[in-house]
Amino acid sequence: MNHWMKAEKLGWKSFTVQSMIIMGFTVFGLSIFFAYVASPASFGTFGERFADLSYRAASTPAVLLIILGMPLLSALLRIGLNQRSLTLKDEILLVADVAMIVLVMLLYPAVAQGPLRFVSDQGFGVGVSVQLNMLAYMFVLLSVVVWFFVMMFAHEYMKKEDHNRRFFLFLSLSYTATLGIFIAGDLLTLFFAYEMLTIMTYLLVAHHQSKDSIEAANEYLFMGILGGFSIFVAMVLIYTETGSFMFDQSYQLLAIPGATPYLILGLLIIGFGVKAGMFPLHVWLPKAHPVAPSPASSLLSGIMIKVGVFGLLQSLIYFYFPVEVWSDSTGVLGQVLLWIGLVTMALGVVFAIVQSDIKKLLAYSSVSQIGYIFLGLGLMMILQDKGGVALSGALYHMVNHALFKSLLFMVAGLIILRTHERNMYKLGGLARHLPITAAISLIASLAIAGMPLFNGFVSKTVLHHAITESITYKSNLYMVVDWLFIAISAGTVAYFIKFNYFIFFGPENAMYKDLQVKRRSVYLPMIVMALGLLMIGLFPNFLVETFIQPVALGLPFDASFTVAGLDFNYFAGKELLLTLGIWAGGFAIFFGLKAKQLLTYSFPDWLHLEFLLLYPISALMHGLLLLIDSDHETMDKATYQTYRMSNYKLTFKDHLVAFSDILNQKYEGLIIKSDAFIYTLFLTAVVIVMGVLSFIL
Amino acid sequence: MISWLPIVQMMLILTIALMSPLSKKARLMTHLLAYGLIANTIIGVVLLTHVHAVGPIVLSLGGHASFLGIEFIIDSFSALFTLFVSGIGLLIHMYSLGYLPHALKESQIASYYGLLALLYFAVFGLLYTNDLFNTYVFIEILSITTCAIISIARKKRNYMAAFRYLMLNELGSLSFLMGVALLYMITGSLNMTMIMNQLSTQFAAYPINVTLALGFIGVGLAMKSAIFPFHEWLPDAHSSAPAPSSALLSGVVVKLYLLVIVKILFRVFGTGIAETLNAPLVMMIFAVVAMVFGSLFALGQKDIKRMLAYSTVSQVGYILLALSLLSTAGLEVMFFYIFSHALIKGTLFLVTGATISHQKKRSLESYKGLGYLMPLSMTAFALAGFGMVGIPGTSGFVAKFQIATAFLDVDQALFVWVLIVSSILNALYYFPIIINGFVTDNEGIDVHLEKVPWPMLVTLSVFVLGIFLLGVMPGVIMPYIQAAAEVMGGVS
Amino acid sequence: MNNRLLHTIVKMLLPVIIVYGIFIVLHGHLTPGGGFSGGAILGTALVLYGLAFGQDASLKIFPESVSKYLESGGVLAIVVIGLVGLFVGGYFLSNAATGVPLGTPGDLLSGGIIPLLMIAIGLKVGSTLMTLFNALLEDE
Repeated sequence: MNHWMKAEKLGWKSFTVQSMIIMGFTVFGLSIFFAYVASPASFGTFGERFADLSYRAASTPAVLLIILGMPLLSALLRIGLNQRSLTLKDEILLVADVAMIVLVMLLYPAVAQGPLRFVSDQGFGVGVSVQLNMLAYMFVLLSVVVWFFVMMFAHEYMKKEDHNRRFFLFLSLSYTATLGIFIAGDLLTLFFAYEMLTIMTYLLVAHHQSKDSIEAANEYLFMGILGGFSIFVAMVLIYTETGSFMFDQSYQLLAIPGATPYLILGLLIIGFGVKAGMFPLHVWLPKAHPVAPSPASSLLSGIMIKVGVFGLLQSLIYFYFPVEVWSDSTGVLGQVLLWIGLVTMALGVVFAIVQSDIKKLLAYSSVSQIGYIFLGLGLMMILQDKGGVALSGALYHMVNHALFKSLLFMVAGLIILRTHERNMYKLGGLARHLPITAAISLIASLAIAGMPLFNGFVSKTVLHHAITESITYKSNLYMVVDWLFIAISAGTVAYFIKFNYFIFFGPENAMYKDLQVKRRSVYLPMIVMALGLLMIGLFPNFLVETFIQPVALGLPFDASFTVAGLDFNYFAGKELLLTLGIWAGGFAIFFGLKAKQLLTYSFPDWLHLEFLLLYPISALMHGLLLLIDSDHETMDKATYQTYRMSNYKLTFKDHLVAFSDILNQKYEGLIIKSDAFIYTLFLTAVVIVMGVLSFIL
Repeated sequence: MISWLPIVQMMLILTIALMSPLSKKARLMTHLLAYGLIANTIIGVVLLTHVHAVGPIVLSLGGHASFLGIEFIIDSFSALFTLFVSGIGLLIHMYSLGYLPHALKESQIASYYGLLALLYFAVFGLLYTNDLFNTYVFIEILSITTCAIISIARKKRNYMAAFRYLMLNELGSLSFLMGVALLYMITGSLNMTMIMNQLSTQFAAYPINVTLALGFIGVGLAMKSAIFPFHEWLPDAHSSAPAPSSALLSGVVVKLYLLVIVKILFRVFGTGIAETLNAPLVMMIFAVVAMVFGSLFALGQKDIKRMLAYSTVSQVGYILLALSLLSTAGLEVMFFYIFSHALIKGTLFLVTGATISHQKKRSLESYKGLGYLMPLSMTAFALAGFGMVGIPGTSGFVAKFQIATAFLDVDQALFVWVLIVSSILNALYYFPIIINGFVTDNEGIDVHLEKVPWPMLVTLSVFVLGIFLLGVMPGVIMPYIQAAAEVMGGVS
Repeated sequence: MNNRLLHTIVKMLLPVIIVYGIFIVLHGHLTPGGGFSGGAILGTALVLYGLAFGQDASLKIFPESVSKYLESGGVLAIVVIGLVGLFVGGYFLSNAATGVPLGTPGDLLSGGIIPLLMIAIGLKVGSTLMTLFNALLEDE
């Protein structure tokens, strides 16, 4: 079992070399692809033949279905080849991922020309459909690329784990579910894929099967199912109001009088917000991300929480966007999203700063960044027909976050793999021993904190532009939003300084003197991704022009405004000055808090969100229990000795189970023994309701 | 010629039942019942297609005029459900082939199959008949045979459960009879269609009689279909019955009594009178209470079969809720739910049969890690559990979706929330079992396919396939369900 | 004990009871009663014998091998008659259409298939009562 401790021999058969070849091929292919995307004309006849092939491929749903099914196929193949070498098995996964990248690249010209849409009448009684427009395409491309890199990382990381087959099987199923959500053509298909995702990712979170893992996974599952039900009710309401939930035209729910459209949107926000990690439904995220194995955390934070935002965006586009003229009610919806976003951002930052666990810090960071995205979505709705820039900011940030957050989780995974230590205060000075890791961590942190030349700066700048637009066009009150944005960005800088300081720099911990670098294959995907972050930072307009702007132009925004708004120089002086200010603020916050020993502030026990929200119901149940079992006879016999209202460790579920248990023990026998009495009682009641009331009334 | 088929169906299964004293060995009855069920299923298919294409068949026994004699009506409704019962019965029979030799003594198996045949006879009669007293007779036969197949194993604790079950059922039957007597008093006839014709005029003259009649009949049938709070016999009965009996009882028999309620409401009283008497309101109240309390009690159980029994109580609430709409749309939803639930609950009970007989594990605690010992069975359990909660892709989701849309169509949004709360409660007690089964340490346990007899696995697979087939392509049976609903409720 | 007294009285009464039971069964289509009540009386006669002479004695004269055929046979006879009615007359349990002579009402041999049904039912009910009684005694 300890064979992973030995350094690997570098020959043709070693994974490192083979993965380098695969990576090289993939990077080469991607570069050519992006060159084509940037200017198709310069490829001449070759480009035309490629486009032709694409149109033919896109005429049937076959390619899409192959893309959906390939992860499952490769996972089953991997399980089937159980006795072969691990290298071979993981390479099958990698090759399959490359094949998927190729297929997705193939579809680009067709999608660029117009959205693909395949509808089937069969299925679920009302029919399923898949569609691929530029928005979905963007995310599918992002997913396949990020998944590829994480898979390469996972080979090394998962060697020391048990239950590998199960892990990769469910990871692949989650992959299929994620892609299914992106290419869903109507709300029902999306819901199907959404529920599937919840269930498949459960096993990823619970992978280690420790008590913490299972608790976190249970909470995640429970909230996922609750979110699912929320979307279910919304779906049913939409179906009753409009008769269909296809994503092919705008239904303009806001035209329906009364509170129903707001109820539907509220339900959709709750349902998708659970997955996205939005306040107040984010509680599962900081528990689930740390206990999952690092490749799973990367993908959870990188791609799967975007699924929530994507679902919400699709719902907004097809159910709440107008066909031509925006109504004022969207402003209200935008306000809600905006403020939820701000609270999420703030909450994430505050909790991240005080964390000691590496992965928990990154989890709260994800929460905070999702807040940025919600901010963008909120601004989009507020700015109405001028919302193109806000949407672009949100989309850009989603792409960027996927890239740098998965990279950061990979870094965290590496550190935990080498040092077996998750508490960052116990680490220190690792830069000497793990120089490459430190460099990558620095690059990713600079990116997420918004340093110019890196991609985070770009998306935050676009979002900031959206805020300034709202100040100009809506009201000066949005300056509050601006200040909060700046403050929170400074906080983001602060906790990433903390992250890097305590792990890589700072005083060295004697325990890690002998840390050596082994197994270099993990660095390959991380280095490539880091380079990617740099490239996007250096050429920010590329993504905007090729992917994001077409999406924004396809929606009912003011086209010329959008184009003008996105066409600015990212390296202009004003933005750079602002960034400098933010960074200075970040340093100030960090060193200030460090000096005051506030960096490890732990919040009081009763500040559990779940406890606060569900306290009334728990109190009610507790009161009922006191009534039912006033002499504690049943409760003492049962295992609820520690059942106290003030025990914050007990979850709502524990309260509910205790309540029903005691109810059961007290009354079940009673009901069974008094059947004749019940019969008489109810017969009388029924006859009274039926007869007497109908004659009186 | 084709009108003889229903009689052939019933007489065949009756004759098979009568063969049971002939031999102490199980072989004869096993084979006979198998062939009988296969024949009945085929006849059922033929009848269903015939009735769907041509129209209902009306048989009068003995050739007497309808006010004198007993009529059997074979229309889309009864043909569909006799096929349903034969089909499910056939699958459960296949399961019993593998299960019963482990659970019962040889001589008991022969009498068990005989009693089952008698049960099916009563079921067919109950579905076909158009006469109220005949309904009572078949209800009695059904009560006694179900009591017998519950207590077949002759264990001590079975006796109390069987006795209580029998007493409650008799109370229900007597209540039903009282209602029938009241109706006969006013209308002078026992034929359902004639009573309906009479009642529309007589109701104004004798409102109290009709109210009392509906009350007695309703409560009596409620006792037999385990509507909360008359459900008390169900958990005891299920904990002591062998698994195929539980599956049959939960999946078929309880639903049958609900179908009798449908017949009474639509064919005897008519929706007009029922609505005047506030029957929908009463049904909705009972349904909501059943949905919530059934799940609450299920949460507190420690034995898996009792938990599943309470879950049935909760699901009966769902079906009653659909029925309380008293419309063709409500009937469509109700019938689909019956199909879906029979498959799901059948799977769950049959899996517990496998776990109890082969691993001797009954308490919920002992299901830890069972997924590694019995992977196929626990996977079936997991998939059926998903169906119960309403994960899309399963028939449970389609059924719940239909209920939700049906209620929103009549602007009663409250029930959608009740549905959601109840589904959440369902998840609260099903998911822990599935999680316990799969996500625990399996140190030293070799994962291999369990040594469960193949007939049991085949039945489980067919059921699970059915759950997903109905979940993804409900259009397969929807035309038949719609025809059945229209026949009952009138074309909407 | 007054076993002797009991035995004598029962031996005298038993034929009377049995004849009375048969009378009620046969006259089912003429007078109140019929298969069920007549069968009950027949069954009671057997039970009386069992109570007086002991269960073993009653099992000797009416062993299980006979009762099981009587019970199944009784219902089977009804099924067969019904099916004959179905195939010949077009309805299950049809009476006049099967061609069995209806005779004049009031005669013993009238009513078509009804006396046959009564006999079958009478035998079955009597046998069942006996079996139930024996089963209850056994479990004690």
